[in-house]
Amino acid sequence: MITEECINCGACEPECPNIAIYAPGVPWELNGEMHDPLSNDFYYIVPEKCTECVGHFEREQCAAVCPVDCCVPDPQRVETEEQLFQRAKALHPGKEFPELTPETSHFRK
Amino acid sequence: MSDDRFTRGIEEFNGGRYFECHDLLEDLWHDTRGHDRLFLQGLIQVSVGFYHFINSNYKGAASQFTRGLGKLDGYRPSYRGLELDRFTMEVVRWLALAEEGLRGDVPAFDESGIPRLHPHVPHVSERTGSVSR
Repeated sequence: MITEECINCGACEPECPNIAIYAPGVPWELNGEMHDPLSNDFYYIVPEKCTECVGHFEREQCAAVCPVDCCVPDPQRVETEEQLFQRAKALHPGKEFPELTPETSHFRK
Repeated sequence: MSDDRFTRGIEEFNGGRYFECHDLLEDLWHDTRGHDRLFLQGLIQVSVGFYHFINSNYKGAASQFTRGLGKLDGYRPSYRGLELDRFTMEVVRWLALAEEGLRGDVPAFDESGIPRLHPHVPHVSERTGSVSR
């Protein structure tokens, strides 16, 4: 999630491998369906599209590029590595995901 | 720090352009490793704190001031030519104002009272001629 400490600089948006981050007020898309924005004030992360970068990178790329430290895990939505990995596979049906390693899952650090 | 983005970022801060300061220093922070990285992040967070404060986002301001002060503490009294002792003490005062705002009391403030980042001037002892930094 992105907290209200966000300054709306947009640095995080292009880093997301799942296109889960949207600018404030911009509708989000999943499987061709459009949905209302989750925030009109700050950049936001769509939980249904976020894999905490599992399957892609060693850590969450939004958090890695944010010096404000406002991209943080949502305490109301704690998910397992397996749940996140399955989501990554569903979001990228054409991609081959090798077995998870410390380079592709923050759970394995 | 010889990078032009650092100098310009400080100028933006001192001109009250906190978003622009954040933008320049963030760009530099991405390219920086080692001891300077946390220092830059501390400056960015204090700058973002003032951005939020001016926009009445007291929660964001208080949080960013707290994070930034925690980082800059390790670089006092001065670092990379900037005086940090007095600066951080001033930021603590603004943190208290942000906390007032969080309690629902809209703090009275004068933007001209926001601290600036000044060059550190080494103190030369009259008796010994030694320089303290």
